[in-house]
Amino acid sequence: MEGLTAVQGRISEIQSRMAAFAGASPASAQAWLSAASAAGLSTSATTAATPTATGSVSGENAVVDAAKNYLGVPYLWGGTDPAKGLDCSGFTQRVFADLGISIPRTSSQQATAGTAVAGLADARPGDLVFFDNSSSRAGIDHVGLYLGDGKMIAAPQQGDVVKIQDVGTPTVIRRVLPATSAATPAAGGSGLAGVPYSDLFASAGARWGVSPALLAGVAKVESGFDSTAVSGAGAQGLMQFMPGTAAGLGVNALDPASAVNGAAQYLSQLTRQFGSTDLALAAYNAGPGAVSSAGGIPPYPETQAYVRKVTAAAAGYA
Amino acid sequence: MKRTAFRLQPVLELRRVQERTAGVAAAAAARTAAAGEEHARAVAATLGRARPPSGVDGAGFLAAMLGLQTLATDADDARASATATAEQAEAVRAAWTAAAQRTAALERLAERHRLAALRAELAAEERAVDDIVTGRHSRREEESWRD
Repeated sequence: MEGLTAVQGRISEIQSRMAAFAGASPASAQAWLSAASAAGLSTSATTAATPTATGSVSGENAVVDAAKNYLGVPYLWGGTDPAKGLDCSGFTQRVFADLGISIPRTSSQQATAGTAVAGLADARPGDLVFFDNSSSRAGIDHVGLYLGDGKMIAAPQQGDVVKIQDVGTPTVIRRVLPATSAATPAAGGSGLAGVPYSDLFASAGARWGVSPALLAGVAKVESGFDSTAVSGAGAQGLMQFMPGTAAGLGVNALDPASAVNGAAQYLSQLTRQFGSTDLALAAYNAGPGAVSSAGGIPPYPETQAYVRKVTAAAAGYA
Repeated sequence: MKRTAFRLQPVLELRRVQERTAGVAAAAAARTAAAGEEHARAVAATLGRARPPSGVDGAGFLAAMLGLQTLATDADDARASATATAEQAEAVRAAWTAAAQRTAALERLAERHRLAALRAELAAEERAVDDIVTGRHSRREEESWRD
């Protein structure tokens, strides 16, 4: 970065020299300053490389819907006006701007916005997917919006239009949506659509950092989504809290909102304690003591089956 | 004696495959990040060697300035790409770690199962030996009694 800093310093120096022209020949100096301004020299030579996602959005579906509004718009290199055409990063910038979220202009700068997503398996609709397509110029040079199911929407290249295409293999995936929105597929998300209490799973999951799909899986296996269920052992409600556990967490087990929030909090705590979702689920079912003394999932057929069932159910809601 | 199968063996196999896949992805992401960093350094070095225009007329001066601006933009983009690919590599590496932890948790369970099964086998063998010894002892007693 030293070289870059040095050059920026020299550019500033040159700008000072150009400003000094003003005293000698105001007309030509103004012309030079106009030319320099057109070349971008009157502003900082660097563009912000930090995420600027500061707006709000109703969720990932809103991003997808906003993006689809531009289907068919022709590709135009450097284009940011849909009436004339859009390039890939102009398209993505425009979509997020429509939702009140500001992201940088170019694809490489956009690749530093938000947070990294490890892979397509973890990607959500609305995530930005970046590519290094050009063999002549290293680095990120293309961006699209992930739609889910291996598809993205993008402004591909000159002569083409904004369209839906296979996502391929992105070099970088970024989540620009605010965390609460990105973690709430329940608000119309495909996985939890139509699942009872999906809004509660989404909000509690976002609050405690637990997958809403996992919470839905627990509710399905524990109570079959019955908030009035009471087991023979005395577990109560949607998330089947034992009275002692519920009291310890300050949860009203028979109130769905309280129970889901408490379950998310408890699972979050158990996941931190045992280091894996499987063990957290085992502890939810058999108790943390049983998992600690077993050093893993306790050898109870019920608990082992429980972990399998919840994991499978959660996968179905993911 | 037939040993009881580890019920979560299919899950363990799946976890191992996931861990291997995550490892391959982590290695690829690390290579991309390293290449991005190298490129960013190279572009920055090129910029470091660039000189501001001097002794040129107006048009030449503007062209040189535009060239510098392009180089500066390239350096910015290269640095942004390097940052993005480095963060991506870190995210992929974290996913690999998580996959390894999930595998390890199940492997611990599998090992406990193996040891429990082994203990059960040994106990059964000991019982069988005891039965044989007891049987011989009983027969000897019967034989000596007859004597």
